[in-house]
Amino acid sequence: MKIKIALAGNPNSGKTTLFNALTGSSQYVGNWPGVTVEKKAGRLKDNKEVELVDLPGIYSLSPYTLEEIVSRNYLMDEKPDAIINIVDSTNIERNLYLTTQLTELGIPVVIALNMTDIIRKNGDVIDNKALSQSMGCEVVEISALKGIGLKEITEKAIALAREKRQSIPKHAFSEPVEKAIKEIEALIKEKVDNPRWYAIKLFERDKNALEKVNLSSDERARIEAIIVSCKKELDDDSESIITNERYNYIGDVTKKCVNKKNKTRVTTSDKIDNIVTNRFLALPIFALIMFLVYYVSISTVGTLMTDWVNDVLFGEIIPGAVESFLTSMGTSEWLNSLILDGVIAGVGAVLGFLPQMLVLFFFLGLLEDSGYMARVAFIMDRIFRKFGLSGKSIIPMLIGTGCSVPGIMASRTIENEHDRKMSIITTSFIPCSAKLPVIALIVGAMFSQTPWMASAAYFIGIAAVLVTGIILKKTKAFSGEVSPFVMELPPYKAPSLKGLLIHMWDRGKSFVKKAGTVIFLASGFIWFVSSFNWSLEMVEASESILASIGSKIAVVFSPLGWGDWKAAMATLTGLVAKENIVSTLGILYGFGEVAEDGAKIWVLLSQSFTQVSAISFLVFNLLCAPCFAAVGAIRREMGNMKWTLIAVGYQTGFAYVVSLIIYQFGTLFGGGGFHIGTAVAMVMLAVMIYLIARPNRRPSKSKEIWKGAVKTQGG
Amino acid sequence: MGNFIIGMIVFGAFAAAGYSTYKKVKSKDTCSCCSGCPSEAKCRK
Repeated sequence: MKIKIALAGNPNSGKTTLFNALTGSSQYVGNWPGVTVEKKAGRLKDNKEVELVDLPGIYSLSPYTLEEIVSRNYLMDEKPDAIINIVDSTNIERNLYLTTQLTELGIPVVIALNMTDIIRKNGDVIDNKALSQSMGCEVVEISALKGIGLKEITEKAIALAREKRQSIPKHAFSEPVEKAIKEIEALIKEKVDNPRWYAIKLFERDKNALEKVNLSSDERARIEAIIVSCKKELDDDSESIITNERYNYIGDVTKKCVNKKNKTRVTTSDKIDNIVTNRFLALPIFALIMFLVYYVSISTVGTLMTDWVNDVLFGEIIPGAVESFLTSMGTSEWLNSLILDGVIAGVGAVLGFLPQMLVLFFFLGLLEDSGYMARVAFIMDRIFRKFGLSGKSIIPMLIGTGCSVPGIMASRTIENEHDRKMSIITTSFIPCSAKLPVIALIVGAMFSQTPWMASAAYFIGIAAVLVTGIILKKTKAFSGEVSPFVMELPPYKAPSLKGLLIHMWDRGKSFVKKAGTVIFLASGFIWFVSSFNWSLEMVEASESILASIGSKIAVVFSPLGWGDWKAAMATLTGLVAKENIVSTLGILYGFGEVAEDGAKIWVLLSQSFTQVSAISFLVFNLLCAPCFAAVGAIRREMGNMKWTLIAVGYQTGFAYVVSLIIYQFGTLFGGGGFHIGTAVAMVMLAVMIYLIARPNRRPSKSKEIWKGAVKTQGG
Repeated sequence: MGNFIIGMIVFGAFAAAGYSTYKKVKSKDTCSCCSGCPSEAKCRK
């Protein structure tokens, strides 16, 4: 018999950690709420008959955001055989709100009381037996992270599913509410299979429930009369009545079942937060941390390893061995060139940056798992709020540091359509890991003595988001109130080395896989078009197909300081995948060429750029249209081609203007003189300042409604 | 002969890489282009 078990719970309660532990999968786990935006299915490790479904985190069954709708629809429509309700025991009061709703669904529920190890460490005690009696379902203590209680929770859930033993909600509402619910229940009992749940939802005037219950206009009127009568009696709106009564009940339950050792204790997390989220210290600390992360990854530890991989492995060992082998095999010149100058130069150039990427992945994982990234959202919210931007777009950006695609997808957690579109447009401004080789390449070749350049790329991304937000918010299409941002700050945790290595391995593996497929293919293609002319004769790169196309396109980039066809074509190939910029430059500039002074790696590249044009090139490639996969994600999330084109057009136009301003002003101040390009850059800068400084179309009410990120820390 | 063998190996590698990329794009199973993607399943449509 096949059994379907759903994992449901509040955001950041540990559902995905439990899912991974039970199924053996390695789904992305983040120590902040909202990591899971889609349901994921997997088979139980020890019993393949059991399917586990990891649902996005929800606070209640009243859906406000898309991922909450995903969870609710699954529970309501697909009716799993049992629900494992993961409850964060360090934050039990808020978590039990969902439990009171889940037990009303008519599906067997078992509570997995997670993070009980922290509870014990704090000296707190939870009376499981009393909790079980109060909530009408079984309770099992677990620690998903440490693998405690996992066997017991699955056995309980399977047994409940087999017995089809429904949970019986123990909580009752006040007399007038119960009376109203019973009256509504009597009206709909023939129409639905779970009349009490629907009656409560109809009492709350839940639109989704109203759509699902086929009511006549007469029945609707009668239900409305029942609600109005109850509202008058209790002097509150119906949804608030239900919410308050649920919380009152939960308050009584926690009083009875939870015994906190020290109710006013200031936790270690609180102490750390007093410093890292301090009004004055937060930003400098954040800037310092990001500087250190990029500095260590790109300029110190990462560079040592990358230099070896580039100089020795892909510079000497592999090409030397392959060349000797090919010579011994007597292969023809074109085949040697394809393998050495195409595949090894292209793929090798990208793989050369793998060590730096691994170090960066390790540190980003450390920041995520420790809980600091959630604080970054809290810190950035203050800045975003000042500019009338939704703090909710910070989460997609944090996810986007790994890859823009899931970052763009995470925008769906934003309910306000204007804010969501804005977030989709701006997420790819934050450098994803695919852009890291480009940053490392430019910094390594042009700014090896300027360690802050790599981290500057990250802050350029944040600045681009802010400027875009300010500009777009003043346009008709994006004006209006911003979504309020409420975020739970999880307690700090010491990340496990194993978890960090898994993070690093997963991301690194994906990078290598891509180098072996997309980058490998692109390298072969770039080699072909850079080695042959239109008559398919093997020629020098400067007479090749690529050069003839590139020289026409390069004109467009001349005002940006890199009107060289090689740089222009590298930028274009970056649309397939951003790493292609590096592989294309590797092929065209002869990866591994040695200079007269003995300096290796990217010597020709550094001779083709000035420092200003290199910054312009880097900034353009950081901010312009993302790779095709990310454009596809934009298309899916925007839902239409018009907005996709607007997004990509804006990103590319913005990147062009910023790069133009950087190059033209950089050249002017560097003693390059005043040119027509300088005048155009001045006009562009003036337009940009006007767009930033002009008054809002409508006075924003954000300051009135926005309470900012609310800290509701557990423990 | 060496030319033929090495040529076939290289061609085979390109064909395999092309097929793998095509399959991913076609099935929309995973993101084909995001290295460092924290979770391939996140890229599911």
